[in-house]
Amino acid sequence: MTWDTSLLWQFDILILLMMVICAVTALALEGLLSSAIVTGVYSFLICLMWTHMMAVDVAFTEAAVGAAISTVIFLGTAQYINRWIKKDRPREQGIKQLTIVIGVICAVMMLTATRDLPDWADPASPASTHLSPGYIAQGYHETATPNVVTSVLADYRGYDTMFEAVVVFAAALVVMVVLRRTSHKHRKVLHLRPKREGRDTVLRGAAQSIIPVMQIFALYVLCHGHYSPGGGFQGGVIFGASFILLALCYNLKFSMNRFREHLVLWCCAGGVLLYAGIGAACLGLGKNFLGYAALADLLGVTGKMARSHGILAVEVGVGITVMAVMVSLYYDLASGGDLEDGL
Amino acid sequence: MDDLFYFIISKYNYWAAIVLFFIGLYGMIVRNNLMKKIIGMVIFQTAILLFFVSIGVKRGATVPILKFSPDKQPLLDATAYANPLPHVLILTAIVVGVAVLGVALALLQKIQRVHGTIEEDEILEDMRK
Repeated sequence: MTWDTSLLWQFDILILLMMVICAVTALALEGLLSSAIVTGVYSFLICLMWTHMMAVDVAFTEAAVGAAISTVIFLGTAQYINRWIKKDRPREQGIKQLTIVIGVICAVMMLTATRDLPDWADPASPASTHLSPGYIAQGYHETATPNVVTSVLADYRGYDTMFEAVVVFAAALVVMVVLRRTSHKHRKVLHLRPKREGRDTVLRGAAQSIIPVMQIFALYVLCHGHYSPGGGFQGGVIFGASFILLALCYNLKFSMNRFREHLVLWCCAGGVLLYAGIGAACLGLGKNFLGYAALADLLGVTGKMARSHGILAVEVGVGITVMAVMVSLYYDLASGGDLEDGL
Repeated sequence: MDDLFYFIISKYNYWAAIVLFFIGLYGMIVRNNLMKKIIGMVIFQTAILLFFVSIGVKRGATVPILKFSPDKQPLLDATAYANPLPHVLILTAIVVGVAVLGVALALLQKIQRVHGTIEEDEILEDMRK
């Protein structure tokens, strides 16, 4: 049994240890703001881990979503809650200690069970030998897309991705419904949020120079997802983050004047509709739902290229939905639902 | 000694996933503060994602984007690329994860508004009144 040293196990163990430390710290700290920041650090560490495990698309998504958007909405929420936790009361400790004991027993059992799992990075492990070699071997000939992740995401598993987009869309609606109205007699609002005028010259200058580049980069990521890491999810999140950056550097009103809320909602629904519409068009042209090869005659290309174009079209749909949902989540969570003033 | 070393470096990813899994579960069950429970949920989720992606790693493999030879022929050897299937599942799971986080934080803000606290036991007291 020889070990290939091309995988840096020292690096992995260091990162995983730091992740465990961050996880414990995030749960142990008493200030919720610092907990939120440590959670952001945790996301960055796992992003390094993804990159090292060659999951570049996942790392891209994690960097944009986990480290950026999650941290921002955590901080946005921290304006409206008690920022310091109180010590756990002794009254309910008995049942919780029992939970810890059961948890430790389960952990020991699971750690023992790892003996039977395939070794790490084993090319002959069951997960890597049955289905996935088929995607690698046929994906390019069937969809003309060198990035296997993109072709599986938008073509072979197109249904999955479509309903993921629907889930994200539904989440934006739920956040809006939950936060928008609270009857006044029940209201016990904590007003910690600062009044922001948006007059900081350095921030405004930085925003003015970064945001256009960011938006062009987002479009590049979206359109170049066939040939490099990226695609609808990543591009959409980066585009959404550009509006969030605008709101952070100026103020919420400034961002909302440029990307109004009803337009955000139209984009949320429009992206999903575009995705489903392409699926329905394929159905109408006599193939399966989301069988992009049906578009070949319409586009005047071969069936293989039609699948490539179909992937691009649904990625645009996903990108629009994800972009709008991220902006919508930020608008609602950072302003506590009243859309007056934000983080 | 070599066997022990080999055993450790061939299983540590699972151990890390399991440890993070139970840290997250601890946060969700034992902590009294709802924000800490949500952070526990985030950690719990990433532990599962870590497990999923780490079963797709292959020794000596590169990112799952096809390489081309100088005469434009793609290299289609499955052992040369990491397993793309877990990447696809996890990529979408991360985006759904932030959607879940958004809903959880919205409920948190609503609870704070209605009950004036996000401590579990104080909420229960407030509801009994």
